[in-house]
Amino acid sequence: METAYFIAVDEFCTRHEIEISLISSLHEAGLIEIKIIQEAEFLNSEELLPLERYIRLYHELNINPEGIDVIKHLLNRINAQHDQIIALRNRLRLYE
Amino acid sequence: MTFIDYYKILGIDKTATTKDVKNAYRKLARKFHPDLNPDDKDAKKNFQQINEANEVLSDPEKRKKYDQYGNDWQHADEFEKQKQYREQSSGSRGARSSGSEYGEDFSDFFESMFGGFSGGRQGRQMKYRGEDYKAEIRLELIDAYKTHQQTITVNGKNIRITIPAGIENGQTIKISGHGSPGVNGGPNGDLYITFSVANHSIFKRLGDHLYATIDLDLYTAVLGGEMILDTLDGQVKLKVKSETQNGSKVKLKGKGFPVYKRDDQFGDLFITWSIKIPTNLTEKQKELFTQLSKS
Repeated sequence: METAYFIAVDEFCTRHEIEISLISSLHEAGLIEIKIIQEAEFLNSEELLPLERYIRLYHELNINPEGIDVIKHLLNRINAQHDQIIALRNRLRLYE
Repeated sequence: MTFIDYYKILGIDKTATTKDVKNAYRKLARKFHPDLNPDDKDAKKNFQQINEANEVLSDPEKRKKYDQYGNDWQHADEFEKQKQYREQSSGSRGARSSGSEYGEDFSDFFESMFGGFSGGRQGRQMKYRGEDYKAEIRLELIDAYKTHQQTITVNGKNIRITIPAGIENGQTIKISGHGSPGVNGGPNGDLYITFSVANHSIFKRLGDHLYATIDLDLYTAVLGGEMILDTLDGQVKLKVKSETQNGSKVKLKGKGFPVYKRDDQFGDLFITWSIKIPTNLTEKQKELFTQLSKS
């Protein structure tokens, strides 16, 4: 079983040199979860990988959180279709 | 090493303003950004090219040098010496740019003209995760039947991994932290291994179930009996009902493929009988069949 770790939002922002408001915007857009522990905000370590991707999209491509949300859904759909293609290919092998 | 036309890469004229460069870069970056094109090597390469073109053309000093020496980059050394002298005189040094996670690999041409790093861009020093590595492992179906360990070499480093039984053809697993080292102190990337499971057995696999068509002699099909069947888990004794029809199926519960990461859970094995009519019958045998047909 994997253990989840929590990273303080302000620590993450300091290390990545980003505004806390960006994290809030991403949270408001439903892209990330923020956990409140003793009145301090934390991020789940499992969210770091997608969060870093959102930050790149925001800074490098000027895409706002709503646009990132659309991209996230489209990429999820592409991945699901990719998995479906693999499953169908495996099924097709039954008849080859 | 060949000359790279950065203007052509961004699709702009030499007269383009800084704003034109920025707009062209943004437009192409949205098209080729690796986060928007996962697993697309061409997109990654294109993104690195446009990133490099932007790095040069959006910086007035670099653009000036490129315009002046671009076609004749071999003579840029002299320019570089003068620049270094100027920098030493003023005491200023360029700072390494954070750049993009995906745009750090500059071409030999770029390195030759501008050195191994960008010197002009100011901004955030992002800590980036290292790039993820991707690898493929080919297995035979029998290998995927049992949990086993395998050592693979990724970028000269040996990694011993455990491959769980029941892995699917095309399935990808993640090995955390075994990708490229992080940038600016960021965490390492991950290693993604995709499995290609070849099947040269008599069994067809669909999910956790196995399917096989087995020949059955006419006499056993008619009278019933027993037969020994080779499965991926050894031999099993199978009872054949009398009057078994051609194409009929039997299910051997729990004799299929292991369920991925579910200890002691297996799919089923489905056998389809293919009844073989005897050939080269003797006169006596034909006579017996005639008698049978008339009975």
